[in-house]
Amino acid sequence: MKNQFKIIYIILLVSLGTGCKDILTETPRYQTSVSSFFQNLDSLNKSVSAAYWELLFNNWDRGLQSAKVHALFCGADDFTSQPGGNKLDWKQGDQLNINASNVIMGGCGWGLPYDVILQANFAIEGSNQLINNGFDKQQVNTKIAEAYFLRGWAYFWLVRLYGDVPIVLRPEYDNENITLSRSPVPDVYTQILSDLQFAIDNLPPVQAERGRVSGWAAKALRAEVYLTMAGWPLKQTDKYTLALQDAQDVINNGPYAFEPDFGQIFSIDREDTNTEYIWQLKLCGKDLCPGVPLNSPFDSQSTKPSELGGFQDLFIEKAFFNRFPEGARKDYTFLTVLYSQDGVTVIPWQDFSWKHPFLSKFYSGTVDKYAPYEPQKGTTAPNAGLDIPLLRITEMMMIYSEAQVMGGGGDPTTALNYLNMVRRRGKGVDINQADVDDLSSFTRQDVIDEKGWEFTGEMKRWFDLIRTETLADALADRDPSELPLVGDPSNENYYYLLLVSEKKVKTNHQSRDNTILINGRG
Amino acid sequence: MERGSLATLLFFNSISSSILLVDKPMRLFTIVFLMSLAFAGFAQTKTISGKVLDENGEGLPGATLRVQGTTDGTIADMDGKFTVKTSVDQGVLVCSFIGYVTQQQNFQKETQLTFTLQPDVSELDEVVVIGYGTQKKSDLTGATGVVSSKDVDLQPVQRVQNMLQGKVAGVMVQQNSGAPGAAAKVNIRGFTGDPVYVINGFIGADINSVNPNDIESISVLKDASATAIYGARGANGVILVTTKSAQKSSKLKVSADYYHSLSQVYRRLDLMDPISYMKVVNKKLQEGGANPIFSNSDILKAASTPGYGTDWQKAAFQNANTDNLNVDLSKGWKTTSMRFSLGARELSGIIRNTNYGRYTSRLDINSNLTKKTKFSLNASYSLIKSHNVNNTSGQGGGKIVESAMSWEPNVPIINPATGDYTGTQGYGATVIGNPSFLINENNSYTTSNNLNAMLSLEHELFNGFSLRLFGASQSNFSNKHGFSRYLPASKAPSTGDQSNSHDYKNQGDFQIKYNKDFGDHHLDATGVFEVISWSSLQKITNFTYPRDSSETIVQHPIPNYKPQGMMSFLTRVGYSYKDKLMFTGSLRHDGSSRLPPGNKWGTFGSASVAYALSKESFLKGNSTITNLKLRGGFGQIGNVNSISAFQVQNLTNPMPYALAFQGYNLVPATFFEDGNNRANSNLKWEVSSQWNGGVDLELWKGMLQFTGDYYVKYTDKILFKKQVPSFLGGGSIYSNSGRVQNHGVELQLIHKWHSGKDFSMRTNFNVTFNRSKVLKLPRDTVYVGDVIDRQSHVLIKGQQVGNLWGYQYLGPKVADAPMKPGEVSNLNPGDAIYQDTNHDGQITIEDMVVLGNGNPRMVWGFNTYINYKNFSFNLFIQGVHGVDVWNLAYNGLLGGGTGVLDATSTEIFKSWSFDQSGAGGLPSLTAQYKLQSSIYVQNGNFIRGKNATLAYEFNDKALDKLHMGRLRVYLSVQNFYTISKYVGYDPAAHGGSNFAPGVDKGSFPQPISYTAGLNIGF
Repeated sequence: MKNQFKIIYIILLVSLGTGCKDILTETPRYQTSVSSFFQNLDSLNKSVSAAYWELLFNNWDRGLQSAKVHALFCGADDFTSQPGGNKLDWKQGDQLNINASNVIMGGCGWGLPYDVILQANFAIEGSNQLINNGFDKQQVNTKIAEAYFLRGWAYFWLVRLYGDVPIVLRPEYDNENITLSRSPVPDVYTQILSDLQFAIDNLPPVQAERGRVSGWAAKALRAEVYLTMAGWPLKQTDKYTLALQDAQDVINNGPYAFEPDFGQIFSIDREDTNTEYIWQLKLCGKDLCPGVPLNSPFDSQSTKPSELGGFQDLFIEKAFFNRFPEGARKDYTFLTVLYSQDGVTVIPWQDFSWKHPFLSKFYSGTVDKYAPYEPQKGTTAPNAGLDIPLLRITEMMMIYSEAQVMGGGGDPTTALNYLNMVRRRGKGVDINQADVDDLSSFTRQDVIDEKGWEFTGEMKRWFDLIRTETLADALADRDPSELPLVGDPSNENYYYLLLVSEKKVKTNHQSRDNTILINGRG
Repeated sequence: MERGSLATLLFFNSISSSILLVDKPMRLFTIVFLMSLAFAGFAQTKTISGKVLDENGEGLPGATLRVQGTTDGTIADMDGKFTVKTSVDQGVLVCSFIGYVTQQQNFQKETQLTFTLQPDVSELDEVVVIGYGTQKKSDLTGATGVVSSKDVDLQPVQRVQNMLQGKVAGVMVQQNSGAPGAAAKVNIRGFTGDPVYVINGFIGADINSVNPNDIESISVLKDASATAIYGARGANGVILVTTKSAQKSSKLKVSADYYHSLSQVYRRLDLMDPISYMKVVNKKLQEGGANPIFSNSDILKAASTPGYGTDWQKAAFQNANTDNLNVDLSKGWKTTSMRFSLGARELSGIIRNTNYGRYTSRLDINSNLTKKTKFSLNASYSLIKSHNVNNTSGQGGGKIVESAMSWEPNVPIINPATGDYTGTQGYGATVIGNPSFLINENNSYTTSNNLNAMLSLEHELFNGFSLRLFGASQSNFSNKHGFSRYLPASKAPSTGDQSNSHDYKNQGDFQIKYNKDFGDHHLDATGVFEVISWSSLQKITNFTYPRDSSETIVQHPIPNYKPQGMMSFLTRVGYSYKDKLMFTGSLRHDGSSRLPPGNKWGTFGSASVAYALSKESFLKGNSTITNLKLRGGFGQIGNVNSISAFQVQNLTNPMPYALAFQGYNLVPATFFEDGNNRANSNLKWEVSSQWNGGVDLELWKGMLQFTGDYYVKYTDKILFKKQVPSFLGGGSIYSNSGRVQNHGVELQLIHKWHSGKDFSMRTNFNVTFNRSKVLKLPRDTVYVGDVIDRQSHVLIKGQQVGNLWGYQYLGPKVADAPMKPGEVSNLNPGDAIYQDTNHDGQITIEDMVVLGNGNPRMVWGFNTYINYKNFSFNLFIQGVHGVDVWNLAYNGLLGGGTGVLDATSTEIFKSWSFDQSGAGGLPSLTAQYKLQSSIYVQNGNFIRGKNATLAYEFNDKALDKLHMGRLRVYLSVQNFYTISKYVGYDPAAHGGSNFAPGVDKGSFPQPISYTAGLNIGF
């Protein structure tokens, strides 16, 4: 009996003694808590990478390489879509009929930049911790400047799409952040310029890795920001000078060069060596980089006709195609015919299922549009890993030209020459030899038109038409066979900005408001 | 039954029979005692021998045989055999046994007699397993449902959960998938979450690795007064599972059963032939302003080619086979008993290339170490192997059902031009793959090993006090590897994955009990200290096999590790007065690792009373009302079951392979959590309070038994997932908000009847009504469920839980027809008219309304056993009513899906495009078939014949020839008939959470199965 009691007592003591306190605490093993994450530059680097990653998530419905992101910009005169089926997002965009309840567009327009901001804010908070803990300030700032750049980019994206937006500068989910109101547009630009200034001051001029933002990229982005500030809605025309200065600095002092051959810019073989790109979204096809969404349905699958087994989500408006000047650039940019295996049959775009030309600019690496189409039919999308350019040296030249003609100073001859170089390359002639089609003088409209052709599918045209208030003009010659417009493109109050679709966002002045909730993630 | 033996039972956790009609150990002692008396008998003149059998035809040891009017008699031996010597030549032999109806047989010339005793229909003395102990059924104060192995006899159930289906009022078992080995969803009293399974005292043990054949009984604790003893674990009800064990002093018994089933899909959908399909594809394109894809000559050629295209339903479904074998061995010695069982179950699914195998073994040993110390061990090992069972349902992986319904019928399985599977065509189903490709080339193999051991040591101290130590441990090792071949006509690589997971669960209990009678008063108290710890670790490796190189790219993502711990102190006091007035009260103090410091501990309690009116003098001896008991109780329980690990501290989210900044080298990224694990450091216990009132009525000594319960349950501080605003990164965060009321009625009627010895029947009918109402929310409406256009379900203050939320479809726009109320202007003929609820002239998600409810309002089960001579027959019917289902797969059938552009169903001929009067109800082919609309909400009610079995039991004569102890053969059919309006394979096959139920994304349908089986014993 006594022995039995002894045994029982021992078992009791053991069971009580074995860390009864510990058992009620959950200790992570392969993750760290947010508060203890920032220990060194490596952790900082990883958190900055997270901000980049948000640009690319997710490849189907939200990332900058997705086809869905283009639904935001279908309202311009370049892209259209099918009238029915599952193409509603692009169709709504094309018809100027985006309502706030569109989850996908809310994700691309609103969710994506705010996800970048969340991760950038986390990294920035961490950088302050590291500096406080005695890490080398210069080293920390060189790294964190990438996050400042990305945060600036994200607010620039937001302010152009929504106008007034909440400015979130800390990652925490707390009362202060939840109750943020929408800040007026000028305040958002102040924040953007402040972030880009930090980036310009601290980023290395050139990064060893092409996918990372550099000091020159920050300056190039600022040129675009200034140019936008000079137009609608702020119309701060003094910013043309600043835009021109930043663009000129990048052109003259940056390590970039205007490529003589248009097609070479978008060749997968030269995506890491072409001299055009200032900042590019680094993609990587599924076979080489498995398991990560670094591939792009937009590159080919969405922009292929059904004859190639494509989704044909997006194709080119007829008027835009007809206006587009003939030459090498047009041939490269569009798929207009398909060649059959029999060597005889040629299918022109009028006989494609959807009777429109398609964008072939990003086919490199997946589709050979000059080869017979039959064996290529059904090749599926997500292999496409061609990089997406976000800033090119050509854009700096165009900014220079536009700012110059708008009174931003600079040299008129240089400005004209830049425009003519782009035109010659588009035509397919020597960029340095005068051409019969050269302009002898130019207007802002010439620059905007040229940019439209040069940057088709690079997410520039919509913003250009909005800031120059020329959306209605661009849509004036829309072919009657296209989807009918629902919105009135001349009514800038209603169609130049998207509806903010989040219930929680408070309005404190004349912002357009709406009361619909966007889901967190597409 | 003596109190003392009840006390023994209370401790005897591992004595499996929870519905012991009597205390078996006591019975055996009596046998030994009386047999020794019998041996010392006198010389007598006539000898009658024979056998006493129980209702199952097995020898009943210990039955008393007495010649009427004399003192001659004996006790049946361990095999139920007896020999009576009597001095009279003729008379009546009376066979009696406690718990059984006494039987008499005349004897004159007979020297051989067989008694088959039927259990005494009064089951009030049944012992029911309750939390941390057992209780006599007549003493129960809470609502407890019981299912014993006999209730599922002749029903080939695949899992333990299915044993409960349609058997217990208040327990809703929904078999939502017919995938081999798929688990059913179980809800107790409203749709509040999964109940906890307690296997032989081990809380939260893995029920899926338990062989139903090893189960002796299941008790379902429904109301809070019964479940409160499990505190935080019991909020959604508790299912107590007791496995079989052998009787002491019993001879070696070997029994085996085997069955084979043949299964097939219950119905096929009416899909278009290739020619019609091609025409409809063309028609849709032309309506949209595009060129047709198929030329007239393509169509003519197809029409003149025999066997053109593919019947994808035929390509996907097959006749499937199931083999099920169980073998049991049991033996009892004087102080020790042992049972060992083996089970094997192998089956293929009705979708090709799906298989499942479950191999179980279980050992149960009970031993009296000393007179006062008892020891028991229960250990099990199971191996589950499955192949592709997760690839096949729209609720997850491979979407085979969805693709078989919506893949284009005009293409062959293999494209003759490439020699490979036909790939995406640019029309039809553009996202989901070729069904045959999905079936054959996406393979996933899972092996799961489950080891489970429980040890208990009980010691009787003195004066009614006793101690019990209980330790249990469970380890689960699973290994999954998958291989997905590159897509047809694609340059993409093949991929593979390998995942290993290790789950551990340990439980230690220290219990003190006190059990004593004081005259008319009885006191029974239990105190327990309990510690439980869990941990789960999952490691996944991903492989990529590039096509143009032999190199394999290997990735090791961050392992997923989740710990959990809980510590509890609990006590329960039971008191009864003259067996007439009963009271039970319990209190539990729980600490959980899921909650933040300061909120970790919660105290929950319950009280219930019962009043046995039939023990009062005015009913005593009443031959009609043989039992009448009123019960009432209240309890409060905490709950943290819905929270997973690390919800109170924000963790970073590392991703080792995130980005390529240059070339193809992937670099890692670490995220601030922006998904569904955003932390809330203010989380608290979710608390549910429940009132229960019930009545137990027994008429004519158990011929009719009725149990009715009404409950009302309030769940407070519900842990809702709250959306984080997108401008703060989105995702969701748990917060304590909301209050939901569940109330319902459960009725159960049992009827038993037997005429003489040839015919008997036992029928159980039960019905459950439940309503779940949202009483409080953080906002007026909370959206839940997966996002379609917005989240699929809504919670609205004052309305039912489970409401489907979407656009109300009003019909197709017909030319020159007057505007319908709620119609927006400017619609073209053929367009879909959706209701503009807010009259703003456009259709936005603000126009969504409640379209139905995915939680059933009423479920019922009817289960009857009829025995006639050697035949027995079982019929089991189940009904589910008041439920609406999102038939999302139907969207693909109509060509409106995100990945499916063209219709495959003949339903599409109801489109406006084929009848411009709009009489068919569907809009034009090119119209917008909004997925989140009433077009796809269907009535999910059904009545289903779950089982019908006819069995034949061979009699002793035949058995003696065969040298067998038992032989029974049977034929049965499962899911043999379904009455339903649902347009799909299976009205029951839908998934979703409890707040967002009733979503059919193309689920694996349940098959109709034909079974032949036999039971043998030696």
